[in-house]
Amino acid sequence: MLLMSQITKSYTTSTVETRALSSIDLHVRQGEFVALSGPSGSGKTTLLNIAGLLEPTDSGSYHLDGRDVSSLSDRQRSRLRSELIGFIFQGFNLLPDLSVLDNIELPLRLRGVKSAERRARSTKALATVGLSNRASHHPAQLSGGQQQRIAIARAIAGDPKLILADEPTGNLDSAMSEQIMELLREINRAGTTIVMVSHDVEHARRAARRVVIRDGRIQNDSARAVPAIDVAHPMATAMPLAMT
Amino acid sequence: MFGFLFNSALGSILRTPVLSLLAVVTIAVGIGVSIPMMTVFHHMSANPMPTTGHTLFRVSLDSWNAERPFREPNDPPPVLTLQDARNLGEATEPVERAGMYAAQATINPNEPGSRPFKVSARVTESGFFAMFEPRFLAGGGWDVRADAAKEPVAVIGPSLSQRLFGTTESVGSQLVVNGRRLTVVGVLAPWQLTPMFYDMQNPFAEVEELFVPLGLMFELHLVPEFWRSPTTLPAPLSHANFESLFSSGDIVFVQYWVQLPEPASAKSYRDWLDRYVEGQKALGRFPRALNNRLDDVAGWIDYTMKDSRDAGGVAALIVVMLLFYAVCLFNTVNLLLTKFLRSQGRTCVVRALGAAQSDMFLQYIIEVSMLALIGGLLGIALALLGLDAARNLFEHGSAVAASGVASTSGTDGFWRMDIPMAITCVVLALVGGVAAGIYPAWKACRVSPASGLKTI
Amino acid sequence: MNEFPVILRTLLRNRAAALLTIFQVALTLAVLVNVFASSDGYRAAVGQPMGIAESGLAAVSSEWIDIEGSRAPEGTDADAFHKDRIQRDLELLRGIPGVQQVSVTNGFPLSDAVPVRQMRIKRDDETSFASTFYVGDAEFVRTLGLELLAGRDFSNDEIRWSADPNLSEGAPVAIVSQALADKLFPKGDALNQQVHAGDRLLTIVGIVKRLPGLHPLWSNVELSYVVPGVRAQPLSRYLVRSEGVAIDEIVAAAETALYTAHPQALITVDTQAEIKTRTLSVAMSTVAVLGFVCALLLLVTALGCYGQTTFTVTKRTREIGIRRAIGSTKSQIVSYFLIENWLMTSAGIVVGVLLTYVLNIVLVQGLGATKVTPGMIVPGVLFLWLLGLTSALVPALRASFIAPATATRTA
Repeated sequence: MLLMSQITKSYTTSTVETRALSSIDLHVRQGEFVALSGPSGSGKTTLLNIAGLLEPTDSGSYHLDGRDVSSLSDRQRSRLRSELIGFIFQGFNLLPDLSVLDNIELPLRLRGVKSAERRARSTKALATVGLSNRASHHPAQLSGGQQQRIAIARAIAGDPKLILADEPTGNLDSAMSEQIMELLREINRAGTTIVMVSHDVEHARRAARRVVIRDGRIQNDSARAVPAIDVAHPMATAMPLAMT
Repeated sequence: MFGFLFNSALGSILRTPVLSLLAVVTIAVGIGVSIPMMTVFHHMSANPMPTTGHTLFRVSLDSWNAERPFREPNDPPPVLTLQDARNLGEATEPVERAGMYAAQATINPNEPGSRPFKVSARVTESGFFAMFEPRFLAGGGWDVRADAAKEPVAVIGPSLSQRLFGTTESVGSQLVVNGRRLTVVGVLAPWQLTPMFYDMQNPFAEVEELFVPLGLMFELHLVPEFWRSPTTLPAPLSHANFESLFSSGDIVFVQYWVQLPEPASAKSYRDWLDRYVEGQKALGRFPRALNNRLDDVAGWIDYTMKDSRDAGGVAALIVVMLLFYAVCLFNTVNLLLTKFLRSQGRTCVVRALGAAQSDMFLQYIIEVSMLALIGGLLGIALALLGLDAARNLFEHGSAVAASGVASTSGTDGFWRMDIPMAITCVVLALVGGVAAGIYPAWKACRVSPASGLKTI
Repeated sequence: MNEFPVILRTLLRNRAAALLTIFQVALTLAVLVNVFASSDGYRAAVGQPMGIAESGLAAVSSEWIDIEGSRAPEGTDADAFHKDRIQRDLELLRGIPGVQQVSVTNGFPLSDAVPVRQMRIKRDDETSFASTFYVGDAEFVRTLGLELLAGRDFSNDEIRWSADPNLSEGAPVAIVSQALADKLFPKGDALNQQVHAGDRLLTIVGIVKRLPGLHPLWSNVELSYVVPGVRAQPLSRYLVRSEGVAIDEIVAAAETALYTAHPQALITVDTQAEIKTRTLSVAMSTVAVLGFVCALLLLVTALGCYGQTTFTVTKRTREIGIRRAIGSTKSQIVSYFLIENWLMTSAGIVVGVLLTYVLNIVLVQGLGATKVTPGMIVPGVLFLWLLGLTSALVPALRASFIAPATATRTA
């Protein structure tokens, strides 16, 4: 589903260059639930942004759903975003002037889906998150947990193969968080790949696969028995992964 | 997709109402200020004879002296001597023809106790009415026979008729012009010419309220307002020598127009004019090289506007006004930068959900176009106010100056907003607005989608 | 001020936004200075009395019209008839209470309707000076309130009556304006010299300080001369000076008196000030329009500077918070933004001076505008500096009130 090898990324402000990611190798298979964790500033969000085609990489190769995306134009990347990926943000990022249903329809609209089908799919997504009775509400009328469920509905409305979630429970209390996590696991069980950045050790632990990032490198990946730092030659592990 | 972008653009306008309003107002003010002068210029250079103008020709013969041209670089005088006007008139070449000039005439009302007053008169021939086809409320122009017989007739305008006789049905009444009794044979309908193409000494002038036969010019002592002599006059112009100076001398003052059967006849008529001048050269006249002109209405307006101080002045004013508009647009750019900066967070979300940079650019341009369109429409309203204010300002002075009859219609024509000018308003607003929007839109759509997602 | 290089570097990094303000200021300066230059002559002409005591002066014209179109009533001698008519008009006007002097002339100063003749030293001189030609009686100089610098006024026996517009048979003397005397005789010895005026040879018997001519905007407006005499013609013009009575009352009284005497004549009575205003009406309207546009322009530019500073302050709220947190005083924040604005305005002024000259070339051709001089640019530059700083002040002050805590609040 998602195959990164030797990804590096640095940010240049006027004078200083900050390396955000260096030599990241990551392979996520279809249907996996991956939790990215690590201290703040470690590069989790950058990795997620790159995975979601929101930012370009400096070097390395990235295949998404079997396609090399490193050399795509902005328009092609935007198209892929709307077709393959659903985003869930910490701050929900619902558009305040659109109704709940319009918010959910937004990615479908951008993809050019006809209005009848749009309506059908967004209604179905809204039912999945259990908020059908809120269709014509506006985001400001909903609680944080409800807003995040709407954001999830927006993410799944287009039947994406991959959901990228950036601290989806960061702004919610623990009871709410539990609901959201349950919802995500349910979506994952239905076959959608999920990559989630999470501060919460508890949530991260309950994910099937846990990847820990520190200082822009993968420090630990539960899919591999041995911690990455123990590997003498990082390339040695990257090679077989790249061939799968 | 377009529908969505359109809705987003509309939403964006409503989300930042103050900035949107300011952007609209700056565009509108720029348009409102630029358009009035452009309107005047548009009317000044308009062709008031769209259907027949290409068969009507102004004749210029270079009868000036050998030493220097009438006007640099080598323009012939725009008017003829009375002798040449008569010679051309007697020839049978054109379909219609008329010599003419403008003069001030004094009218003595019939009623005792009422005071005499001056009016602008056009001294001309029967061909004037046949060529320029003014509408009549009553009667008509005089005929060729009246020209030849020097009949004491006159055609008057509607307001003069009202003033003298209290009605526009005054055919057959008599009026006293410069002491001579003339019989009214026709009353014109209100007639607006913008510009007054047949004269063009003053393109802003109003159509005269009094038309009298050219044959009566000496009898009525109608001294032309514009005349020039290529040689020093033997004696200064006085009441006594007016006739002798103007009928036989080299003084040029007759504006001469002909109508030809079709535009293609111009060539042969020009050749004929050249042959006429060659013939006169043999008699010792026309010391300059052949330098005649034959301009149709549009050509004549172009030719005279080129040297017109009025046109130059208006054009210079337009330059200033357009620069003002440019300053307004710089302001609009600033406003749009701020406006688009505020919508950055939203742009990031929509980008993350799959909108391409080019989609966002298009959305911003749609937004700017809508603002510009409103600005243009508001600009039309402001321009109407501006036209009205400028008219009051410019015509106040001339109204005070004009003793006698002012036509009821005024010179409305120059200050009138018409469809082409309204379209110009909107186009100018759209072009300016979109030009102002390109940079802010480009800058705003290039923002990295990741940058705005983290902040709440 | 030690922040100067930092401000400059920040500006250079945000070139595009800075360029906007720079061009706006440049265009504004160019338009402002050029409008000022174009209307300079107009405004000067309106404000100046140009040597005549304008207030208290009325201009009366009377045109005798005969129903049959002849120059004088049947059976009378035209010249004698008009001489008599004019003399009776003069008597009538002098009889109006408050009228101090009345003069008969051939045209009113600055009315755009006075003849012009070429003045030369020798008959066949190449150089000649187009000068306004007045015909006046012995009261002319006093009625206009002209200041006689040298020589004498006309004597009564020099005033002859003639139907000839050039007064060819009149006394061959003239009073000239100082400006004309200096043109003809740069050495300053004009008095008692002879000059050719048109076809006539005249002796300069008097020099007046100023005598305005045909048109206030004409370059030769100061070149004028008067010859003694009265034209006995159907159209006569009188200058009336009042003392102690409002000029409007004199105007009304003159109109009534003349119309009563000649019901069939064409009488117009104006004040001299009205005549000048009318001559200048189109120019004045143009100045009014341009002035209005300039005021709007300054408003728009002030808004632009205000908007620009507001924009930077909004964008850099956090930065300002940090500056405050690490110890910047409020006045340092204010001066930071004022210096930034001043730098942009100054850059705009540099570009603007170039633009001013370019635009001036266009306008000199189109409007016949005055050439721009450095003396006109300097006030414009000072004004724009002031305008820029004033409009940046409000957002700069607002910036200084940003709390230092802003720095730590959000990521």
